[in-house]
Amino acid sequence: MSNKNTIPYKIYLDESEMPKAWYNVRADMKNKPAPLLNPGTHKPIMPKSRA
Amino acid sequence: MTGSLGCAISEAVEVATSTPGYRYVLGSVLNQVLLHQSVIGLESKAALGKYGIKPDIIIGCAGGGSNLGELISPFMGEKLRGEQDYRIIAVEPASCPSFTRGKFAYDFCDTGMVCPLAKMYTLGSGFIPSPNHAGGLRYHGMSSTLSQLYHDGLMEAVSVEQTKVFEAAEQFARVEGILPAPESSHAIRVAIDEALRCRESGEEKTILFGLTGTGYFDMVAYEKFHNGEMSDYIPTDADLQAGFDGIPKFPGNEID
Repeated sequence: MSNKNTIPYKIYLDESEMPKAWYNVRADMKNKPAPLLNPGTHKPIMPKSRA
Repeated sequence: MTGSLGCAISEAVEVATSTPGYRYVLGSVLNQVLLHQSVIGLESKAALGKYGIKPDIIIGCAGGGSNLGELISPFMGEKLRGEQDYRIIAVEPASCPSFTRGKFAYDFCDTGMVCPLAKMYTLGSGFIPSPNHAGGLRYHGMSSTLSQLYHDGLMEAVSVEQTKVFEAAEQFARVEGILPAPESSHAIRVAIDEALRCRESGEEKTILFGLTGTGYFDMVAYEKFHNGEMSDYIPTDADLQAGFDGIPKFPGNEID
């Protein structure tokens, strides 16, 4: 690393450098995680079926 | 009582379902948790980016996966999009080895078997780590998102014994003046191991690991380690089989 001597022991972020959005890794996954299943029917849980 | 996250989930669900107007949202493992905690990885990335540093190896401890997922998500994103390559390592306790010895199958997220089934690396919801296990990360399963990434070969997993973890924790405390949580110390152990490997091979690598908690709630465990009273127990195949037998069986959920 060329700038090794200039790297401080601790790196702080200013408030302006803080992340402003979350990142959802699922968005970039080609193989998405399998859906949750209803333990009674073993069918995927859809938003309307939540009890 | 397992003292695990799986047990805590069941108890929280019980309170929520028996209290009018209450709902329960799982606070670890699931994707909304990884999403919110991605701030940790984003901040790490921003801090490194300020000085043009690119990590070669990224290491996080793995219990249910939130800690690991929070750190690796933005880096994994770059890897998934083909922009960068990183070696990503999950570190779990040898006494609760969900990734390294678990089955990739649908299982209950909780010990009370009331939650939906998630497809994940699991030791079975009835698996209980040995009573001498002190290092946290005692969840039987693993985040579905991280399980899929591991299944697809996008990251590695290793398991470490707790005395080795506390040895690394003590070494870290002496050097940095920070007493790390036993959970985070799993990552420290492997960061030290990888650094030692670099010393042997003469390679220079940048290693990023997540230190996410202090050890002040774990002084009893530290004391045991310090007094030489801490032991390691690695579950036998028969111990694990008892847990695997509890994984629900239905068409499409066969395990080897």
